[in-house]
Amino acid sequence: MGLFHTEFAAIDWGIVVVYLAGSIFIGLWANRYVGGLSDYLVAGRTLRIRLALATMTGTELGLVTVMYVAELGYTKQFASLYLAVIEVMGLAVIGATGLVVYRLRREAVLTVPEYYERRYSQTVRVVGAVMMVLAGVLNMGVFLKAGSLFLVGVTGLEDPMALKLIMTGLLLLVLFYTILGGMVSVVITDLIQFLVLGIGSLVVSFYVLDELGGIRGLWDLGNSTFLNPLLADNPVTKAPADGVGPWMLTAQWLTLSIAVMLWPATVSRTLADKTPTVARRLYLYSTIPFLARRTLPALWGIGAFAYFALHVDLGSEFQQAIDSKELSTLSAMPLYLAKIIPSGLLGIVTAAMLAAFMSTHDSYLLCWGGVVAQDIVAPLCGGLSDRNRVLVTRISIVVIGAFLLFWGLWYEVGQELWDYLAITGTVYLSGALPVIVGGLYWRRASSAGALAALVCGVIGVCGLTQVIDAINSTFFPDPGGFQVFPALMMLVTMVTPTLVFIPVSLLVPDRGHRRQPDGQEAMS
Amino acid sequence: MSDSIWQVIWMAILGAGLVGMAGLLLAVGTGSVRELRQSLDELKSTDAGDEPGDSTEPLE
Repeated sequence: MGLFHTEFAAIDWGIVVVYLAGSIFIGLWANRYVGGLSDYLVAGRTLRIRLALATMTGTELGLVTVMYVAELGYTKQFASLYLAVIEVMGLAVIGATGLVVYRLRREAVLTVPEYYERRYSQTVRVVGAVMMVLAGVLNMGVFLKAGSLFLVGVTGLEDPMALKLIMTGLLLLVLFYTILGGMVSVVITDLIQFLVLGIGSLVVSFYVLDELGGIRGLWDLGNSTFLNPLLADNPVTKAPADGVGPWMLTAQWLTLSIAVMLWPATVSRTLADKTPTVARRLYLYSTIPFLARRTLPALWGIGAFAYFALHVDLGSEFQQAIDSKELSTLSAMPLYLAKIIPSGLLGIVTAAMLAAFMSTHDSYLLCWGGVVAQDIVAPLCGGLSDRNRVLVTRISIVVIGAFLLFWGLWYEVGQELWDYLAITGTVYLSGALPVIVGGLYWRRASSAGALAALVCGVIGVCGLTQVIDAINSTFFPDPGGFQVFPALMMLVTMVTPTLVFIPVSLLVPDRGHRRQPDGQEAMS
Repeated sequence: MSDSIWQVIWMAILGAGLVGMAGLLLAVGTGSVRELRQSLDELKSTDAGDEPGDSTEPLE
């Protein structure tokens, strides 16, 4: 059996095609419900708790999430589950207290930058929107690559041209129904994708557990895997700094806690909820799907680790492919699933994963497209009619889609996928944190402070491996001495905008009327 | 903390993830379809009754 052996057969292709055709039909059908701008961007704010939860799960349990969590499961086994603990704790705190999300939903804005203008100024809105779209689209830029690696692994399709055509087709499909039906079609397809994905992920987990020898086998596996996330060195690979450690734990805790609260695609779902109370409860109940998205793919990654360790020939073939950069550790999980899931079921699982791929893409495309129209083009043009706003949103979605295709097919991720996502996310999150939280809770937060913080967010790109290497070779050339490392850089870049925001707000206060945290107009 | 304690923690978390996803499908699955129907009905009937500041202009 070769590395690319797969159980994927004609019947599986059939299942996938039927599923995709269904998505096109939904896009056409949902268009009849789009009556106005708020219908298009936030589904008229009609979402109740179960529907909001289903669609949030559909968005957040994307294929890229499945891929990077499984990759972490493969490289760091059980220790990778620390991310689940951090994320669930963050959601539980927000859900219990309503921190930020309750007040933000009460503002009744369509996008986060719209809040920037209401609280600060139009300039803050435009700059904040540019930073958001920049970070978001860069972040999203690797989604297509992750999707294509999954398809290669599962289908055994090695022809690069065929693969590119399939990925292009998938993206076009998502563009089609998102452009046409906006949030209404996103919500409907997300619901279906939630059901398909939920069942698919449970089926895969069952097969993985069975292959591992049940709960007993999983327990026994613990003796030869990475368990303690406090270790900075990986005890399995024996490689220094290949583990997690206190620095990385702190950096990830900070990044994830802020991300669950302020990540735009998540916030856009919050803004679509029927009431602020639904928004708060959504976070509390989201602990369950968020726990699932961090644990189930990690289990599949752990299964892949055990499989390649047990099948030595395949394991060494896979390692050679990684060393020669033909493959990366991202491919471990799909290559593994292709061998343990039987034909027929593999088609359903693939449809589930493509569902995951599409449900994330549609929400993100709509979110960024909406921000471009609402918060960049409309303010700069001195206002647009609702019809033109929807038109600009649709055009923006197409432009972003074209960029994703270009970026996704040629950019090589220099680090683990999760690290790339966390770093690009930091560009937005580090600036948005003080601007949103300060705006909602601190009377002296000013436009100058907000602008400084948002612009400071750009230093987030310093966390990319290529930039860290350049910094070390320029400023810290001695490998035996101090060297900048990713976790330290993540912490520095995340905290810096807040440290800038506070003194600048105090030194350069706003003049004239500004909306205060309690929602009242006041003279500052 | 010893490795055994970590192992117990991780097994419990993996179990919670599996049970949580199954429970979520059961609890949310059927109810969300009903809520979707309600939302679509509201969208259809309130085309001209959006929140202040939102659009009332119909789109193509």
